[in-house]
Amino acid sequence: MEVDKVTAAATAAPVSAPAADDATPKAAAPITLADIKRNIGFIVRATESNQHRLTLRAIRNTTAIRTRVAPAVLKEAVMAYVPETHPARAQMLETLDALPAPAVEAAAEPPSEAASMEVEGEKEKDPAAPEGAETPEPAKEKWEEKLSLAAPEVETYVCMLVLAVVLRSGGETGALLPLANALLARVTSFNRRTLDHLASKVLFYCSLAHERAGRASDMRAPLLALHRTCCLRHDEIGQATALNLLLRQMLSQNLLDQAYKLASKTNFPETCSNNQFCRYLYYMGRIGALQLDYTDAHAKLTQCARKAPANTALAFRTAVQRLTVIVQLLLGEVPERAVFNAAGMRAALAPYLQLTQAVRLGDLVEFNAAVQQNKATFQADRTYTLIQRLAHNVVKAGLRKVNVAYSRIALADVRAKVRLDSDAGAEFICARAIRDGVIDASIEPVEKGAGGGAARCLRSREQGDLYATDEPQRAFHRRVAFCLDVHNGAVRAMRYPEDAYKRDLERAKRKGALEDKTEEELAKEIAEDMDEDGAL
Amino acid sequence: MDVEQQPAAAAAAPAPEAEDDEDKPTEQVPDMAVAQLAFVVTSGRGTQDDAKAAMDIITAKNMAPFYKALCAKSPQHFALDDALLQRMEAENAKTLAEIDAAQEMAEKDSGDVEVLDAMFARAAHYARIGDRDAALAAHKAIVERAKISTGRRIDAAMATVRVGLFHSDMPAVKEALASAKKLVEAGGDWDRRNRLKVYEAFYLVLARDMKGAAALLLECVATFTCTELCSYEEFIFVAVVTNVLCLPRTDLKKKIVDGPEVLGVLPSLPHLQALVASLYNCDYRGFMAAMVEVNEQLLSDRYFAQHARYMVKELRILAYAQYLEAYRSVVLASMARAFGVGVDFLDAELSRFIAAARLNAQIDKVGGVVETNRPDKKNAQYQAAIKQGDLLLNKIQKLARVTDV
Repeated sequence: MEVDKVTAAATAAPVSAPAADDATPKAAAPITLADIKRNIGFIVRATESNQHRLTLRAIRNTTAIRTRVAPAVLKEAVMAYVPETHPARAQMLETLDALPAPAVEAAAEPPSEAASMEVEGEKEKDPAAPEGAETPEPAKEKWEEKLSLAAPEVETYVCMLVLAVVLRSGGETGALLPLANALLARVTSFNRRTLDHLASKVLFYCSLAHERAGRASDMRAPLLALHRTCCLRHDEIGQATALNLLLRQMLSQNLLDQAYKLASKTNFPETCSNNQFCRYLYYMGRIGALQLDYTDAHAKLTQCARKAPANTALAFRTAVQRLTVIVQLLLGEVPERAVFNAAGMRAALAPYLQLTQAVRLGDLVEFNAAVQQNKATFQADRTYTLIQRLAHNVVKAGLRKVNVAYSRIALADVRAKVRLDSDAGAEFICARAIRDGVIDASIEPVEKGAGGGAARCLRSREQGDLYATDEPQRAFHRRVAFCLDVHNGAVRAMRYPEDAYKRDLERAKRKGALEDKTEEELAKEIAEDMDEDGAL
Repeated sequence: MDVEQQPAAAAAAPAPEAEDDEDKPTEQVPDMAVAQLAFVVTSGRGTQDDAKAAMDIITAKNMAPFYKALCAKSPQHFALDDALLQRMEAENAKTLAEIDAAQEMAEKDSGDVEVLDAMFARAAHYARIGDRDAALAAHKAIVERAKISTGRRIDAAMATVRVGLFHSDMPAVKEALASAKKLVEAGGDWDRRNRLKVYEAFYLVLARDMKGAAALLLECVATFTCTELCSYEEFIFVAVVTNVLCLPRTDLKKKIVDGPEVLGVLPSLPHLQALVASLYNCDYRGFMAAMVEVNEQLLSDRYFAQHARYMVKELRILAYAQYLEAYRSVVLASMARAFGVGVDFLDAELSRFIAAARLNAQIDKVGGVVETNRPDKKNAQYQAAIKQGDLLLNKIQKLARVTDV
């Protein structure tokens, strides 16, 4: 599946893009237990205060750890944070022991400046919060207590790290499956809302492990069950992750009907995670395109392209762009030239550019040549099925050009222009195109009053005034709705510190008192003024 | 505007052909003529004489690195002569040693001016022999040097642009142009400013921004002093070709057809003159004939070669549009006669351009008639609003992702 390479990158939030500042000493610093501890600090606080955003931040900060941590450090973490009663503890330690120590990759994604700055900013805001590594001795007991309260979360986090690191190290994934299953079982045995985001990550890695081992279908039943459970528990991120994993699996196995049915019978929680929603849109776009619902697919894919991270996840964005181009072509539109020149995608999109040019010219011969030449690429991209459907569109594009350029043209000329085999064939194809609404025209005899056997011609109707229809209204409405959505999203995303309103209230009261006074004075002044006027 | 203040010195005394630059007191560095000759020969359009002329200049100027690159690029046109190469390299080493010695002495005994002179000499030497990387580096060293007058700094920046243009190195030209423009903005005199306009125009031609190039070139027609880049005739050729395409008819008459500076040179470019005159006088048959000749010229010009197809296509669209402008409907055969082309060819051309929305017309193939229609401005604006609005929405969406964090 084309998203394979990207999923990892797409998981990382856009802020932790692989920054180019690997020259800074900070970037080269090896991951220590302190880094993991700091993230655990976030998770503990998140659990304590029931704030998802802190969990999300911990997950975001994990990218650097995941890519560079040494197994020994991770082992320490497991020893420290996973209780001995955990069923898979020994197994984890064993697996970690078997891992080779990774070569130090200096260029591997350094922790981005933004992320670390954010953490520092957070410190300034509430210095009382336990900061993991820097916990002062007196606060230690309190910290231990909090840690024990958040034990399932912390444990899950460490398990997730282990899974991610082991998966990343490659090697035999088949042997990993029992561990993954054990961890998943353990995680799902809890029922805590503060655990949702971490659990969904474990689920994701577990499914990835199965996929890498070539046993993706084993996961389907558990995933479906999990999806049901998540729905019952209002675990939105879990629902989203499970649904996406299911769709991904079904699409990669060409189970289109099942995927379509699953998608149509479920609701996707759109607001919980941008990245998951992005993936969902891509899968839906793909399903739509394969189900011949091109308009919908196009809308989904455009939205997906808009929502996709701007800097990371290049392969995902390329996959989306490829599909968008084909869907656009299937819709009879010609994509903008600039689309093919986007940074980093140029080489990957070159075959599609060739294809687009052939469709644009309406040249069937060139189109077939382009398809033959790039067949392997298209098959690897899993777009070949859709591209085969394009052949009809090439003829249609040719017809549309003829329709625009000619007000009246003999069918024999149409045949020559579109390179069809026979006049009769041309007539059928034209008739069909007219019926399908591809061209706005009619077929009539060349000479008025001539018999049925006479030569026929294609007469284009006058192009109507688009602005006189309600099409612009609808087009603008769609865009206005989108803007309002964005606005609502922005309003919803606003965060208010706790009890801040009380302070505001007090301030407002004080200020109000002040203003009352001045207003009173003002009223007095006016009254005096009027009195004077009256006196005069 | 400072352009107007400058006397039309160059116009009064057009520079001689670039080929006999060696005879002139001021030398072209790097020699653009050799780049042009080499281009003509390597593109397979040159004659034996062209190859010989190119080799003459290369030998005369000891352009060893350029020669080496040229032979590597197209061995079928330029066979590598090892003895010659070694001789030239030896010469270059000698010159370089002289410059080194001069610079060393200047650093020891003389002031900044002498050191700077030596640096300029070194940069010019690299530029002359066609060593791109060394020339770019040497010029960069001058531009970034402290304690140097603005004028000379701009000179160095402009020389960098020339080196880039000489090697058709677009990224280098772009970068150098940007820095030179910044310097000129900060305090350049009108002469350098106008020269830089020509440089930029040539770059824009390479980048296929004919409209931008046309405007810049037109500004410089009266004040051309830029002989270090091209001769006046070459300049007028570029200026006229781009402006024919981009100027509206009324301006074309004023600035090109009746422009005194252009009129002075145009007779020496007969095909181009014919092209301009026939387009303005609506002699489309003559226009098509002249265009064939101009096409040849474009193809053998190293700035225009890769845009020749585009230019000729745009010129044809211009002529068709100008012809159709006057008619409500016109018989295809009569239009074909006016252009001196076959009906089938014209039909194919028109249908192609109409389908691409470049011409406002429709063909009635059965009746053999072309019917024109007025452009629909309101709908065009609507389409533009939707298109650009979508771009804006994309950006908004990107911003909105902040709220998801």
